[in-house]
Amino acid sequence: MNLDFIIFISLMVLGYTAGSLAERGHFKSLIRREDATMKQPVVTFEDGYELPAGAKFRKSTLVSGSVVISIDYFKRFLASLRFLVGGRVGAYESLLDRARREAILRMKYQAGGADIILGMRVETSTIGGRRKNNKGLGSVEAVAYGTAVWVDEISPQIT
Amino acid sequence: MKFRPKSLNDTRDPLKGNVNISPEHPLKELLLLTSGIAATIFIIYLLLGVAVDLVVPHISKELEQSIAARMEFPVVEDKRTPYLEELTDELRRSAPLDPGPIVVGVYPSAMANAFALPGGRMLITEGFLDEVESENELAMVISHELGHIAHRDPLRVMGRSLVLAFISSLFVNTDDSAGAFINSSMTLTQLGYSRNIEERCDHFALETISRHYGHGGGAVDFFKRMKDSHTGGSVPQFLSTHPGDERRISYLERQIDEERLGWGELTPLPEGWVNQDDE
Repeated sequence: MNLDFIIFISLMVLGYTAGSLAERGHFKSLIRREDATMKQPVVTFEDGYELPAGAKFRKSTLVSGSVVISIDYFKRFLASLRFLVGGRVGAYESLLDRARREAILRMKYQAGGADIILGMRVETSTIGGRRKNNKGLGSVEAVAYGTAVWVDEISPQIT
Repeated sequence: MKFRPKSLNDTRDPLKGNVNISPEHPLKELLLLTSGIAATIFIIYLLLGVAVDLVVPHISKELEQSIAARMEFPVVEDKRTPYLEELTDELRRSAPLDPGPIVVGVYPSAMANAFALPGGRMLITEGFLDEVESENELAMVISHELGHIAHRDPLRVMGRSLVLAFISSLFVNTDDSAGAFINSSMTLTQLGYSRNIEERCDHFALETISRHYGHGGGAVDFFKRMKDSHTGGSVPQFLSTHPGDERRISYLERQIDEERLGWGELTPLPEGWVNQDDE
């Protein structure tokens, strides 16, 4: 049994245990915070939001939330095998799901009490990642942004 | 339309109802992918190995020579070389299949070993020459290497190594951790391939020396001494390229008995065989 192989197995075990624990914890936290911020409406459309009679915009501002999450050794290995044969890269799906949801949550926190967030968009990009020697571990960044709107004298209502 | 917030999450199972994540367990995916890819590579390797075996008989001696000319032949000056050349030439004439002209060289290493290289070249280590106790023993090992050359095994091994290098280079480019896994899984097959060749060459060697000396004596002496010298931590059979000493000895002894080759008198080595500076 050569040293490289032992190192490889250790990294895989470390990546899998640490990665799964972190992922499980993150999903739980996401659900808790999503439920807590449920009353903050976010929509993807930009126009068509009509104010009820008598109401008017008090304030509107750009809000954004972003997060960077790293893949682990296990996920990377699984994905590298997947690259050989094609198909759904399950290892990355959960990672992107977490990143998108976390970014939206952070955007909501920044909006702090706005009546509604309009025109929400989510974008993702990779950070770091493959270096020349193929040893780099990639990270994913998700950014959510939109326009937070405060309305005078009405309860939030979409018409 | 009134805005009515509603949670879609299930707090007990965070992934339940999440349409954005494939339900497959990552460990199951890992198992399926590794076994599938390993099986595919193995089949490709076997097919290319068969292709090498088909091509090798069609490689002309001239082409083999020109391949060999590019390879280094690291030999040292040794007073025993002319004797080795003469003995090799005599054995060649007793061989069941003519290996063609042979160039013999002494290789500077204390490890007792001998190698056959492409282009009819043979290397015998200093360590082996110092270890050997009779001409018959020496002839057995030389004939074993002659068997490799007659069957063009050096070319075959070179071809297989090329296939191996080619396949691993493909995967090293995709990702080095996947590449490392694939490489280590292929090494064992390579060893199994070599072991069959070794047994065939032992048989070839036995036939050669029994024709040359008129008996099979001395065929197993060297292997027996090797076995006694490393009775300690032995390498498991499947990790070794050569048949285990034990297996090898019993195979050869059985052959000598079955073919009634007999155990004749051993031919001594010439005077002053062992180098003075080694003493």
